[in-house]
Amino acid sequence: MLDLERIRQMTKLASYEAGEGKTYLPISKYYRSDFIGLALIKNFFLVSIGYCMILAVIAGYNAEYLLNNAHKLNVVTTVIAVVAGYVVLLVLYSIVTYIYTSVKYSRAKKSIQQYYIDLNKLKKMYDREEKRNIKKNTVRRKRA
Amino acid sequence: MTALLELKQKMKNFYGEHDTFILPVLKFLLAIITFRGINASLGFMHKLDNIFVVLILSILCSVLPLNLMVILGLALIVAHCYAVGVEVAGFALLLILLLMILFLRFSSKDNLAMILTPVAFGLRVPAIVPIGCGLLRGPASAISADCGVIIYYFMNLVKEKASVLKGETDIMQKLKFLLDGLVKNQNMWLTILAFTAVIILVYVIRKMAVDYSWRIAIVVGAVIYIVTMVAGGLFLDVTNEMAAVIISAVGSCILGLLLEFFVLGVDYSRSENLQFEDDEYVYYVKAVPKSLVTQSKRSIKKIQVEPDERTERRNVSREPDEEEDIPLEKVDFSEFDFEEKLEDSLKDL
Repeated sequence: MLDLERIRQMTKLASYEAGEGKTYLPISKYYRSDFIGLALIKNFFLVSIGYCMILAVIAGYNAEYLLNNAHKLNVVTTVIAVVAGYVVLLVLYSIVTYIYTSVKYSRAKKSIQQYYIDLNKLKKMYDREEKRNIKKNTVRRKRA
Repeated sequence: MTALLELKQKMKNFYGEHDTFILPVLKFLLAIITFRGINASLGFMHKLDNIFVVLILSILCSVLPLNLMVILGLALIVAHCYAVGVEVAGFALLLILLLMILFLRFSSKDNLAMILTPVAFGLRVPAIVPIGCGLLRGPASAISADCGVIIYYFMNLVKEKASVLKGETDIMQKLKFLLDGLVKNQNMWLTILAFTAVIILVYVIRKMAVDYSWRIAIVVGAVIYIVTMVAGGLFLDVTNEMAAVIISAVGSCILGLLLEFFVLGVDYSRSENLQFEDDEYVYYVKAVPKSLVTQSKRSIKKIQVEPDERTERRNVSREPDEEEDIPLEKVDFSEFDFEEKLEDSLKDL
């Protein structure tokens, strides 16, 4: 027989999984430190690629000057400037990424709490039904 | 006003009933406007500047997530740039990748603003994007809207300088030309500044606990947009048509008010100030009711009668007619003897 209360609970859970849960459920599988650490590693690679692109554009833009004045360039100063720029950009983006992922994680945790409460309710409903079925079976066996 | 509220309620009900079909249709329309706009603006690759291609892409977008529309739109831009020159396409790809890596990854939910910005520029109401973003989203949406401004000005640059870019000039020179055209475009930076200022201001005012905060935010947003653009025109090397800016801001203001009506719709005249307390706090609560109207439901009752019953009814209805046909004797009540008549009737008993 259909259990209306259980169907209601399942619908609620399914609607969460299809909506907000799509973003937050995968996040909930991680520990906070793991999630932020992973985002920072991803950020490191993305910033590195982005910085290389910016350098390539700047080099392309100043190609003529660079070719004409290559011998006059102070390599050490240029390298230091490039590395310093990279470090500044990386630190800046790491801070932004840390704040962004922390907020995202705490939002996910808050959003997912009600989902787990509902999930527990559903589990209890199943447990109750299972117990009822076991009782019925034992009574039938005794009669038999 | 009541009629408008009724219309809103009807639209809400209609959307509630048919959202499965309405959402894809809206996405399809948005995609078709966006892709047609890109084709009209660039349109260098004739194979893509075709209504069938646009239709196929729009149908795809109608059933897939919104971010796909953004990706397809950007791919369309790169493809058109490729028709101008490989280096132009390369630059476009580089620009898009940089925007994605540095900015767009933090605002993945607001990427629609990026695609809507060039559309709004095409419709001559660019100010609606920052006003709308401030009203419906948060300050983070400024990133997407500003990226949209960059994309729009890049498309404009390629469109205006296509003949130069198609010419046989050095790759490095083309790259320099594109970069100069974008970085030294003061109009673009001014628009970015205006967009950011409007989004932040509209958001801050909208969040304030004052009556008509949404309307104030919309009007202030439009005014700030006008002031920034006009002031920029005075102090920077920018040629802005003042009339166009004002018309655009007024148009955006009207659209913003329309947005407020459909999204918020509260009645401040019936707001209540409540005060209560618990063990730890005293609460001062202002409750503003939503403008709602009870829809008048017209129920049409159809009364159908069985054919046999109908004939019977006709017969029944004819009876009094027949009775009417019988001529009635006129009785003179002054000569009528009631007592005699009563006695006669009693005799019969």
